[in-house]
Amino acid sequence: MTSLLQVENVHKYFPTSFSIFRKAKHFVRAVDGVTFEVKRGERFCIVGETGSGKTTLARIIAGLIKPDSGEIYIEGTAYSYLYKTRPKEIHRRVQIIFQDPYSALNPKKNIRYILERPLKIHKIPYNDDDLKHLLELVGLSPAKAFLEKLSSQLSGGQRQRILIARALALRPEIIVADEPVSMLDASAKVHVLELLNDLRKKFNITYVMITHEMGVAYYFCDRIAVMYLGKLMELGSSKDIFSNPTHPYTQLLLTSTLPSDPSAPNILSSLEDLREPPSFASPSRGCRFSSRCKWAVDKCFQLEPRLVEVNPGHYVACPVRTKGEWD
Amino acid sequence: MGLSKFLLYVLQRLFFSITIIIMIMILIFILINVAHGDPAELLAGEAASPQYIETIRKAYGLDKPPLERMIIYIYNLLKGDWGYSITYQAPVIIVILQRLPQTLLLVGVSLIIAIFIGIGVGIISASKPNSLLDMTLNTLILGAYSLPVFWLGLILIMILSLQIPLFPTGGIIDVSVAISGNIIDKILNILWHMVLPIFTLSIIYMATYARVTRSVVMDVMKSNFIKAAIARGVPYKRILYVYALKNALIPVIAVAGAQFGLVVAGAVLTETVYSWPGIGTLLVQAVNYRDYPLVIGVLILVGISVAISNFVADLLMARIDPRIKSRLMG
Amino acid sequence: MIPELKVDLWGDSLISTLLDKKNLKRIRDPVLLIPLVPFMLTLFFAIFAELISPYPPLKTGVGSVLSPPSLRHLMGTDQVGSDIFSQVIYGSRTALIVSVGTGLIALFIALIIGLVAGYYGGLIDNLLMRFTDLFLSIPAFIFIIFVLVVFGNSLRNLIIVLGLLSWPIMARIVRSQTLSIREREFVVAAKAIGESDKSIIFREILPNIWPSIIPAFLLEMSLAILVESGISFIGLGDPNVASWGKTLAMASRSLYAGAWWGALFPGLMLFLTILSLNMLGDQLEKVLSRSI
Repeated sequence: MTSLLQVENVHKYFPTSFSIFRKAKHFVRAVDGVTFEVKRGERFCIVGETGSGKTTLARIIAGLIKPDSGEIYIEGTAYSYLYKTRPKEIHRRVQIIFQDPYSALNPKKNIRYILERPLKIHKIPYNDDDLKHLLELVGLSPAKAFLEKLSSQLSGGQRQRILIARALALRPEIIVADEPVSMLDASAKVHVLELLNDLRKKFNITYVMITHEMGVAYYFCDRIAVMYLGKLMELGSSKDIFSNPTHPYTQLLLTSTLPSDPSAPNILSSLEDLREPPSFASPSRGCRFSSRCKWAVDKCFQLEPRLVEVNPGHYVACPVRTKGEWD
Repeated sequence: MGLSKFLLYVLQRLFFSITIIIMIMILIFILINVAHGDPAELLAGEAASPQYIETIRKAYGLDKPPLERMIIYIYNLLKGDWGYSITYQAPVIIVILQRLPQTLLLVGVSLIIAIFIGIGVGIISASKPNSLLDMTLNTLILGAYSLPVFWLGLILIMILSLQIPLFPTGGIIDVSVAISGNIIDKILNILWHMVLPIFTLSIIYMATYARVTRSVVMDVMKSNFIKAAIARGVPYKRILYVYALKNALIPVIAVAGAQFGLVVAGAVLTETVYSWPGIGTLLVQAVNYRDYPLVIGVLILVGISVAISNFVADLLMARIDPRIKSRLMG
Repeated sequence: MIPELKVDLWGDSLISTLLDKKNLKRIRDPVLLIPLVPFMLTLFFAIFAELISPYPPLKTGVGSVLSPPSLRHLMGTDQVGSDIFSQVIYGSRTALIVSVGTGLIALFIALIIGLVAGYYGGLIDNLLMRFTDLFLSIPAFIFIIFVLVVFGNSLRNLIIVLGLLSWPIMARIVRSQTLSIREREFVVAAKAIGESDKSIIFREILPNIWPSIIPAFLLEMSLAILVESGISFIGLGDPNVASWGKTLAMASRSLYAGAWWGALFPGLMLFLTILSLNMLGDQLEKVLSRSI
């Protein structure tokens, strides 16, 4: 499998307060130096709590937000280059599915409009049958009946499928899924995840899935990146993460969420509170997780740990646990 | 409150007010020049002789290039030279200043009454939302809001001055009293003449304030803070009058300051109906006699008062509105 | 390929809002229907003026001077012998023309400024809002008087200058609505499929803010009628048309003679029309804000 998406040292800060001269004084470091690769056909997950910056990262990958520094490459082409020359191409190749099926669809538009917009914008010829085919692909039939309905007339699960259909319309290479199932009930979750997998096999789609539910990550993903306060804590294959979680934060996530029998596919639970919710308040030195870490030593509060490869393909940013070098 | 930040705010608002005044003056200048006809003729009046027009032209520097003219014009205005009234044969600014006190009297008293009664009615209406009392009051307020002020005046005159000769039909003072009355008689007579116009104006002003108060208080009453206070056992009436009042004051002052245009319009129309000798009737008279310098003078006066009222309202808001206060304290 | 219909922006938003079954049921609510009556009457008069009016409104001497209401003159005559009922009928037309004309001009400007300011935010928003504030500070009534004096007191001038002074209020509403819709995820979703800004503003945001604009439009209309009548009352009305304000001004000069009909009827019509527009505006605001 070749590398399709490369995220390189991406930073994104949001200003929170301003001085009198309109210069920003304080920032939220939503994404603070994130680097990883996604291979074609892979199911890549980014997991973390609310506020870890994963949604911002998702939107940057989807071309909705421009990073402050760093670069993203799609099959070797830089986003910054595409923004300047062919901005629409990013959207053609990278699509996004949102979390809330109720707010992600314009209540005043019908399904036909929602599905044909992307095709019209990118000047792709289509006809009614194409639209119906899209609906059938996501399991909504009879397709004809759905086309004329308003999005406000559909149920949550149906709307989510429409979101997927819309994302699929352009036959993108990458679909970023931002918590696509967190608002659905357990059985609907499974159906949607299975649908996504089917579509992947049919159309060779690469997924970047954002989730805070470890069970979903376990069920769906090949590789997982664990994110905390804008930085990656651990990165590895699904097997690495679940059978050999090395970073203290990863361990914390797993112990507080997964049931004792991880092979039971129907039990998907979400993250509950860990000691205190993370906040971006003041940029601290040292490891982001140090204030909540039970293994923290003095150095943890002063120096920022780097991601270090402990096994092929398995990276951890915690010298204490990896018995490695500090930055 | 940080003194320097407050001063900064004051300066900011002052700058804004002055900008408004200058902008209005510029607008006036542009419009006079864009209109058909020679601005000199416009300012000299319809019955002017060619020599007079020439004098005007020289006086206003109308033979000079536009930008220079504009600066001269605005400079003159700021100096206090507002031109010469054709109908009164006196400097415009003098004519206006002579009539100003009567209007201030009328508008001032009406505003005060309107603010008090308006807020009062608004609070009462909001205290029992959607009750019969509220619905009735709300309809009455809406009715008052929709009343054309001059129609109200006409009806009142018809009923209370003509049918039942309770009040005078207009004017500020009876000629007989003006000539041969002592000071007490004069004051009483004026007060008697003031009743209907003030009543008319107050009702119209009050409607806006009551509407705003009612909606603000209804929102405030739903807030968690109030619910907590009720749960703690604070008497409902106290909550209502103390906290609701404070909150109502803010938007009312904002509205009163910002919608000064309505205040002026109401004054003009009321004075016209009751023949009250103030700026309003002066304006209408000037319009009917095509005394342009006087019309422009009144407009500038109104522009200045709007700027002042905005400024005062802004300052008051800075003292009472907690949101602005906290912004200022940084 | 299905051809694009420009109607998109209106069709499936404004009309669908009004005809949406839920809203229709609410509209049948008597609270909305009662205030509708005076307005409908005004509308009726305005449209069918030629058919209903017994006399030309401004023609003098069609009846005796200052005669009280009778079968020949339902609302009496004024001091130059003109029929007041005819004036009231034609006055409706003037009121409607002014209010709709002003409303449309104000709406057009308010939409452009409000949508752009709300959507782009930042510096543009700041500048546009300062601009709006400046306009709000102009004392409208007096300024209109000035403009009519300088440019002539025609209906067209009044509509233009009033429209140019009334947009700020609506612009604020448009902007605040735009700000709140802009944060909804379907707007972000539209960007994600590559929609241009212009497209997003007109296809995603605008259709969703109509419900808040309609009540503002009605209130705008009532304000315009109020102003027009005031302007006519002080003598700056268009001399070629009948206006309720003008009729009332004539009546004010003959009150002393006991001619109550000149003041009562036109004033009542004026009052009820304004009242009904205000009530409709208020009620619609309550109804439509619930349905978003």
